[in-house]
Amino acid sequence: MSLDPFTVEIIRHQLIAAAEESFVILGRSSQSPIIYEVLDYACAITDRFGNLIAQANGVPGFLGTLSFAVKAVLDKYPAASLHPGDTLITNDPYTGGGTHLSDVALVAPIFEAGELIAFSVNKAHWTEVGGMAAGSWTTDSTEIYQEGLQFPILYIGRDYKLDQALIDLIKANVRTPERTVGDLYAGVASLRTAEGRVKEISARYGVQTFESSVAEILNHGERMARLELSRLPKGTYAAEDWMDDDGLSGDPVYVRVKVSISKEEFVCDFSGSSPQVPGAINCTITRLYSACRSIFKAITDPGFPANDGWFRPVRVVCPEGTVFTARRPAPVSTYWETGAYACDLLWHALFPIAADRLTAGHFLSICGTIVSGKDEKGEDFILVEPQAGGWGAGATKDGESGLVAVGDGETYMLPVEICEARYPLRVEQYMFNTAPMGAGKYRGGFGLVREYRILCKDARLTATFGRHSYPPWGAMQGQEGSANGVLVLHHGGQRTPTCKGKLARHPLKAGDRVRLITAVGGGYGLAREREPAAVREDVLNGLLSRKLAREIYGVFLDPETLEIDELKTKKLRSKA
Amino acid sequence: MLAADLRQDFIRTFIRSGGRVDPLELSALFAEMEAEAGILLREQGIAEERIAFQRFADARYVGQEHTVKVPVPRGKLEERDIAEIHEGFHRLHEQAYGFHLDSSIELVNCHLTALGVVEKPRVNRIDGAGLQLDKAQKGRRRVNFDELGFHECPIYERDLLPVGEAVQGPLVIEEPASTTVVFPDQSVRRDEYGFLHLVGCGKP
Repeated sequence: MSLDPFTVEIIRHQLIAAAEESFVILGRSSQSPIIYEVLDYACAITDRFGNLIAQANGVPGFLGTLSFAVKAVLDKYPAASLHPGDTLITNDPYTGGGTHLSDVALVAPIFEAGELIAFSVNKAHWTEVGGMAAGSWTTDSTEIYQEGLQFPILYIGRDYKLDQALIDLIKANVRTPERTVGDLYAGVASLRTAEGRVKEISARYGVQTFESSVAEILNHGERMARLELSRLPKGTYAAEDWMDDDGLSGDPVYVRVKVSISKEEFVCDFSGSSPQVPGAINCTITRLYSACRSIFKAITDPGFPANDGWFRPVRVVCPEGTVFTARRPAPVSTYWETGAYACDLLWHALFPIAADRLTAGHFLSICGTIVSGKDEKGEDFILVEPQAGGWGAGATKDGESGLVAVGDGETYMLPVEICEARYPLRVEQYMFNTAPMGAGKYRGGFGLVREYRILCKDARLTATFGRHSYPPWGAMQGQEGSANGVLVLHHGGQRTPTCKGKLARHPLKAGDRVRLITAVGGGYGLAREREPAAVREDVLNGLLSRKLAREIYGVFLDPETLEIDELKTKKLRSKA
Repeated sequence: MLAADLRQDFIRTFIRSGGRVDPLELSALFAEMEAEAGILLREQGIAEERIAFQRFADARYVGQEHTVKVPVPRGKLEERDIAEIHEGFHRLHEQAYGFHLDSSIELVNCHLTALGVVEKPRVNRIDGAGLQLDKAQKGRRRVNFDELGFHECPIYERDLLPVGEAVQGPLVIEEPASTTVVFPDQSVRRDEYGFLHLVGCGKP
């Protein structure tokens, strides 16, 4: 059958619309703020082999992980054994396209006229999946068994009905059974929505046209990606870095990458990075793939809708058992710290050839925070959220201020109103972190300071703020950024508490304050080359003092009028 | 557009978790909102007998953020009306998302829609005397029916079509503001008010 490009394009957009509709359904019917407010989830449609053909985000950290979940299902349950109405669940970090146990993927095969034609799949961060700590992730776990319930690619339903025995098992093993099961139902509702739409599309155009269009969608993605690849300078690019610690020992962890760009391939080689560590920062191969895919997308064409054809030129090399490719039963609950480093290493390595598309180092860590305890009614509460921070400056612009990290993408911050309405907390301040770092011709974006006061009797704080000891990198002689960190100010406690990068279930009492500080991004170029008018603008906006304008940027502002003193500025700058 | 009623919406926050909704309290709130809405509509010149109300509750399962709109019975509410709101919520949630839960429900808003019913324009009967199908036909041409291919078919002028006579497709009906395409497996009939009734699914 001949295939016209119009039909392919219509089907491609209908599939994207189907993925987006299923995304809305999941968000609207879910019960965890991390899903419906933060949007820490993604929905997708794959072809019958598990190749991604349409995705709605969510989180770029999930980019590409959804197709691995479907492929893992097919490895365990061959296509011939699947039936309409089957619903599968997986969160296995080591094999099932998983990341950490909190990210639960649901998969459903889609049939038309008795034939398997596609899969609908979604993955969402459930607030609670059990384990040693409320919120399920923590910085001090030492094996996977402490991190919650494992779903090693299971049937959770057949014939459009869910398995009540499994639901009872989940309810008995999590701290918020109603919420967790509510999120499960929301995920299943989303699968069914996508299934219905895909069936409509294939019924309208016929299975044959549907299948050949899907193949063309993937091939077209590959052609476009190869065209972009051919425009990149060929060569080998490397970067290395240190992560603060694994949460247990305090020793820094070495990581590195070598990227080889040829006419045919984009090879990301992480060999030589540290072996897996005892603490919970280990990440697994799926997240490593998604990091490589995200950066490949960023430097080729970020605007083109993602599909697996686009990623065919990407090859990932890394021996098993490293901090990027941990093996069972390594703890992985805060895998995103290491996953983010995989992105940042690639980013740093490729910066010299993509300075028009990439910026200097950003605050990077998701800065994951959990505050848990019992509210005034004696009911358990768990606040789980990422923080936003400062991004690096680019060749033509200052860094963005208060934006979520690269692994978080299109997620949102929890609004202060939701926070105060749902949890026994008061947000005492929410402002820019204007630490005088990240200076440059273009300066890094500002981080944020968010401070909670505890209003209930007892609470606990778990936090993982990476880039605490190793701040964001500057580019082209730009200054490095500031550090992420958490300050706990105990009511009536010592005057100068220590700022920390990681905390596990730290006890808090009523009146205590928790100050969450995210980094200023790295600068680009020499500070003395910054446009004096831009320096003055920052002073007028209260983001920089007059004194620092003089010391860092060599710009002299009149103490009365705050006008630029051209003569004194010229003199200051000539000295440097 | 000429037949649309005037409409105003009134919403009050009314958060009640679990089954703890007092029918008297809910009745009183809706009565108060109706009184307020009535004043506003009368100020706009709507006569008392033309004012109508529709009541809704925005509800969700405890823990959800987004709500589903559930109709609320009129008049003074009793316990069984509260039960009806709950049943309605489960049913509409099932309709919107494909599932309902055994979890408890939370009311979030009371929503009152006040309508000022306007006089609808009268649609006159057509005097069909003397109208004949062959006189309504203005020509023939080849028409592309997508998956059903090309067909040579008659083109009719809508105002000249006879009343009450079913005509088998494929055909096209034209008028100054629109065109109606009738597929090969469909038939069309113009009724005594001038409306076109199409029968058949239009698929291969």
